[in-house]
Amino acid sequence: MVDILRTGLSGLIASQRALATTSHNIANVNTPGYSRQRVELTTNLPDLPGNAARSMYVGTGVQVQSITRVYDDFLTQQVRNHGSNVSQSETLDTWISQLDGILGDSQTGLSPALSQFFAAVQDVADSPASLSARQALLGQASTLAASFQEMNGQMDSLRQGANETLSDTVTQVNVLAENIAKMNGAIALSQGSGTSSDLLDQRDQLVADLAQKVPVSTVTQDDGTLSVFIGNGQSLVLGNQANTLETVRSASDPRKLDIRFEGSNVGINNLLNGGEIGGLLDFQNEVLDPAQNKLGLMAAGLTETFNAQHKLGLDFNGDPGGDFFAPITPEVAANAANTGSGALTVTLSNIGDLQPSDYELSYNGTGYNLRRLSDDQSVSLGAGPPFTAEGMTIAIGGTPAAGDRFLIQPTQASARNFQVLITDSRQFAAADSVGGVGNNANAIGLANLQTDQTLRGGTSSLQDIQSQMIAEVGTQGSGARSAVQAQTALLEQATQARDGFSGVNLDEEAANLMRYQQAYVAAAKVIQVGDSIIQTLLDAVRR
Amino acid sequence: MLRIATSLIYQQSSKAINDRQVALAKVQQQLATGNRILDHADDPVGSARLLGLNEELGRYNQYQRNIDLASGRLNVEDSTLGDAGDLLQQARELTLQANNDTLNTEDRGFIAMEIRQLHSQMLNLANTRDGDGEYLFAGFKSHTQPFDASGNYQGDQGQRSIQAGSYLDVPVGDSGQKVFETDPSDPTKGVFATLDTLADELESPSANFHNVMADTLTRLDQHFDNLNAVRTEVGARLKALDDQQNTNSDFVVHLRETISDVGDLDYPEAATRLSYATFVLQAAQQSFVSIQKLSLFNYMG
Repeated sequence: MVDILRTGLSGLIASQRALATTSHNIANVNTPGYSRQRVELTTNLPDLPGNAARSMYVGTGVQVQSITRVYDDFLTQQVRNHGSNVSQSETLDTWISQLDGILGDSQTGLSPALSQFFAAVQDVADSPASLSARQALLGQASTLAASFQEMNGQMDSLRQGANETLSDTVTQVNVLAENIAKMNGAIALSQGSGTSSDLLDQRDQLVADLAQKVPVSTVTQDDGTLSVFIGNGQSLVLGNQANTLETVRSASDPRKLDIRFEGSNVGINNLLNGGEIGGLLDFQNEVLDPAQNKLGLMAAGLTETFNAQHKLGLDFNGDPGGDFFAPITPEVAANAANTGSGALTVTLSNIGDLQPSDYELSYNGTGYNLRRLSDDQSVSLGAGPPFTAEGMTIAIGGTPAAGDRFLIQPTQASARNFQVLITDSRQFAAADSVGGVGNNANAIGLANLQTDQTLRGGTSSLQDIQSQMIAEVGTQGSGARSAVQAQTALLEQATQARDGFSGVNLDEEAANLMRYQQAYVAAAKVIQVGDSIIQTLLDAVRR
Repeated sequence: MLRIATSLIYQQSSKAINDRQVALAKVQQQLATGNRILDHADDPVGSARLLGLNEELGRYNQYQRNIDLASGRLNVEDSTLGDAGDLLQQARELTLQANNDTLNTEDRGFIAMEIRQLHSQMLNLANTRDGDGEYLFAGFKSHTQPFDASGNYQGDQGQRSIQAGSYLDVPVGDSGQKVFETDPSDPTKGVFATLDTLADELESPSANFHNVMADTLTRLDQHFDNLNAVRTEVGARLKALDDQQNTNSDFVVHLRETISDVGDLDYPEAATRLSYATFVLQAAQQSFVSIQKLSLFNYMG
């Protein structure tokens, strides 16, 4: 009879646990990364009354064997990996559309300024003796210079913004790594007494957040801790220890940041090809660099071709034309890690051969190698130094040491430094070498530069370069946009699969709630019956 | 067994609604601006093409401006040449008159005065300036008066051209030498020398007066023919400019159509998209409202 009370009580307790678990599930229906929990019930060991036959086992009720976490490692990893991809594409898309806005169209930005500048050259060709037409030309030239500088300045601030975001993101990675390490510590401590599902969920959520910043791979250790790796196996979290990442100004290109582990001097940028960090690096290297170099090539191309033609003519006073725009000097940066005393002097030798790319010149102790960074191709240097390659003349002073590297950026700064040198409109050389204030032959020659295909080996006009820039950024933008859609669809599928398995369904929980409530009521009834049996017996033996 | 997490129902619904709203906002912006391409990523090739087309449009507008200016200048030259021809005709008639033996010395003196007057008018014509103050007949030295008081040429042989189209350069002036001196190698055979010689002869006739008159008539005819030849050339240039202007106008119309085809919104198509996007958004909202009502909890007492 006491057995009935004990059995009833076990049902009561099991139902209570099940109801508690169900309400925990309901409460966490919207918690990100939560895995639903399930009560595993089992029967108690039966009693075998001492004098009974072997077939007389009497059940003694129920017990909660465990509360399990409904979880699948593969599904969780899928969500995490697709999350990395989505955030990479989204980052790329966001930054490209910002760049897209800067590039302007046929009504705003550089394009109308360029058209109006050449129209002003034509106006001078119409009336070469008119000082007002000449003055108007100088005005348009200044407007054009301002447009070049403005667009380049906006690209510079976009680059700065991307750098700041990159460094913030690296900080967030460090915080997440730190938190994962702490969570590892807590999980390792609780390992003996059975690990809490909720701690594991929280750690998984931290790893998922981390995967949005940078792709990770994980390995679960025997003590329950999770090791987290980035790149091609560099450990970010081991046990309760996190390694810290830092950003430093790049040794090769001072405009950029290198990401590396604290205490190491090896940058790992090229290993981080995913997540927000991968997106930011891709944007800078694959989108912004080529666009800015094309803008620079336009500025350099206009400067060089215009100056060359201008010098063929005579100005209003009959004097030979000088530089109309300030001449372009390629930028050179010696790698911060160089040990030799070598210094480069780079000049433009043939604007028609110049490419919209940066270059790296390296010295191996015996010879030089020039690498074009836009397509990562080695370029033939010919005899030298001084070398003549890709429209540049590269002279080397001092003594470089083996392993020294130099970054050459022929067009990087040309849009920033684009400016009009002529201040007196009489200095505009509208006349050819015959001279005369009414002579417009050189002005016609200058006007023709608008459409002449003088650049990229005689294949492109100034306008063509801009069209190429816009088409390229546009194509990259639409590529990123489709990637976002495709990756998001994959992430949704993965999330659906993971949540379908691990997520909470309220209807299911409602059913469980009713089911366990009824079981609770029934168990309580059992106790009532047990109580009434005992009462009956006590009443029978009273008096 | 397929399970669905309750949070997924909300996520999917809100994503569907958000996607529809993005589509709606886009078509709204397209309708508001009339542009098919809102950023370069919408149509990279079209964006680049629009840039080139608009540059071309700008260039053709500039050609039209060049043609207007050149036509103005050539019209001034044409009428100046016409006036100069009239002066030569008057000189010819006066020479014929003076050649008549019935005229006495005094009469010829009056004719000489008229010839000197014609000389001065001719000089004024040869030193004509255009609206910008440039001398029409000075070659490239357009700020230098081409003929001094005695009719000596101070300009050069330069001839300015303007761009009237992608493939057409048109000369917009002629040197004074070409117009007023039949034989550039011998300035004494110029219009002004002829008129001077004529006036001198009338004022103090020589022994072979009639020979000089006959010679003068020949030379005046030569000058007249020369002027007419230049004038015909100017006429031909004006015609060429006119033709080119028509060609350019046609091309500008074509360019504008192309620009519109590439960049402008197809309104009926956009309106269809707008109503479709609105419809789908409403459907997504309605389905969300009805799905979220379905819960077993509603039936628990």
